[in-house]
Amino acid sequence: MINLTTSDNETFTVDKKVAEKSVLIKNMLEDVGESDQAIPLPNVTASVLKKVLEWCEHHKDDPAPPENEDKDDTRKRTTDISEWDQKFIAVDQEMLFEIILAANYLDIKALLDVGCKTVANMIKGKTPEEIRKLFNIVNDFTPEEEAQIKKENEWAEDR
Amino acid sequence: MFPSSDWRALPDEVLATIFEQVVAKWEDDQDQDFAVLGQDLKCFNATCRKWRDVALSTPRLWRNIYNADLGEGWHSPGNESPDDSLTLANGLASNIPIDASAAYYPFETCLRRSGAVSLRLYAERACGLRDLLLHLAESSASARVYFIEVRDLFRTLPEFVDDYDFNKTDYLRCPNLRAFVASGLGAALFADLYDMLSCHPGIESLCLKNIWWSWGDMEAREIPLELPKIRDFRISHHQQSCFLKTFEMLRMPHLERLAVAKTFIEASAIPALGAIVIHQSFPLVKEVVVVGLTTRDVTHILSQTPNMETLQIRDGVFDDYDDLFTRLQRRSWDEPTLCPMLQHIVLEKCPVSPPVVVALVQSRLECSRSLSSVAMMVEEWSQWPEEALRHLGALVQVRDFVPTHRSGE
Repeated sequence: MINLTTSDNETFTVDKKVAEKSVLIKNMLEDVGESDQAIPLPNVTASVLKKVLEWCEHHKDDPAPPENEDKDDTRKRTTDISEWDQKFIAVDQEMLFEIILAANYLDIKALLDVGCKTVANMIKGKTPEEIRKLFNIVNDFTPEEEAQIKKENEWAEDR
Repeated sequence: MFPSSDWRALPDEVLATIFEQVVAKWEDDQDQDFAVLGQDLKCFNATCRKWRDVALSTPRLWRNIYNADLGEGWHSPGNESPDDSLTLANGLASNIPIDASAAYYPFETCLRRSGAVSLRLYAERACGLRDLLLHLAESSASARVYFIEVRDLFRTLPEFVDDYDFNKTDYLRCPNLRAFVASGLGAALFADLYDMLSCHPGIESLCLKNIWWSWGDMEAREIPLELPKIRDFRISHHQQSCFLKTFEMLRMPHLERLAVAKTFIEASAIPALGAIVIHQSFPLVKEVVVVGLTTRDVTHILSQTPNMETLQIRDGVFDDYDDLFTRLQRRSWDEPTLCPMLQHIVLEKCPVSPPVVVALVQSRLECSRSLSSVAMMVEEWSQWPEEALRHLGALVQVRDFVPTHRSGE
């Protein structure tokens, strides 16, 4: 078992196999060796780590993803999200955002994929204005830039 | 601690992954409407500056290159600027009408933005493909092409007429081509298409979709085509005669994955149809996907894939699937067991009764050829009696099946 300490000073004791779903933690453990010292995770809060560990626990026996996967090739791949992951990721937008950031920081590729696919599903088929509203994004283009983009894209307008 | 959900704070590489997932979903989509892809790319470009910067610096988003046959062959203005989307669009529009499906970024734009990544080509009708290939050859980008889909080729291919400066070997200009999809093909095109495929050194994946017509010129052929490189073959929406002729004429000794779908058939018409009979064996096939087939068809296919390990049956028609699963049981007499290497079964909308599935698994276990897993969609598992599900779970790994993309199946 190993200990993980979050940014809000909560400590989680978890099975090493579960924690090692994170490449960051796995590498840290390899670097420092066996130790009773808690591993600090200054970029993850307790509520998010709890959620991430729930995912790691469920997927602890999954095979490791292939390294240097070539997305261009013709091998079968999937853009679908498993039933369990769909339920897991059905959270509010702020938690989704933080899970993605945590998965990126902790280097858990499969969880990051789940988060990215979920956001991709939210984006798909929406207009820029709908996306800005959905994610509270400010339109920071200057009027000139906007005119240029409109000109560039206008032949892809709805017909 | 992270700030509250300011989506613009996402690292660029994460945002790029999200965008790539949007495009990947489009690539998986059966319909693959380029107007839809164009709208998504437009969104990446026009939401905010950060999104635009990420989109323009993510080459994979631009790897889908499309060209429609615009009637008189494709051409581009000779003096367009580097950011010439509009110029090119107007240039095209002023000469020839662009149909709705052409509401997409021009191929030069995609080619430039795609950097050095591998390309996927889509062409409507023959001229589109010919022009794409010729232009890519001029730009030295042919070597980047790994996927080609040709759609709607009901007309004769003009490039195969001697008058045109194009012939079958032009496909060899794409030495890294690995996958070829042909949909909506007409009768006269088969022979040329398969000749091209057979002479290409590297195509491993072949998908034939919506091929409704008979084999035309191929009917007169007697010598089968050898396609020794093909590992993955998917065929769908054929008429019965096309299925038979295809498997008679295409020899694929190194096939590893076979998918056969007959989704257009009305259930009521099935008894009148002949079965899919295959007169060649596929000893290397490990995975078989069958969609909308009768048990007679499935049995014939399985009898030619003796080393198959994964069987996926979807959209079972009104037929006696219990009988099929009984045939898959271990045979206690001299008759050889069908698919002795079977490890995984995936079922989606397959009308087989739970006790028969359990009996199959039990029989395999008893002869030391136990299965590893049975998968079904969650909503279908929920219809199983609790006792049967518990019994099955004690014998084999019970998994949830999430339907994946069906492109080409």
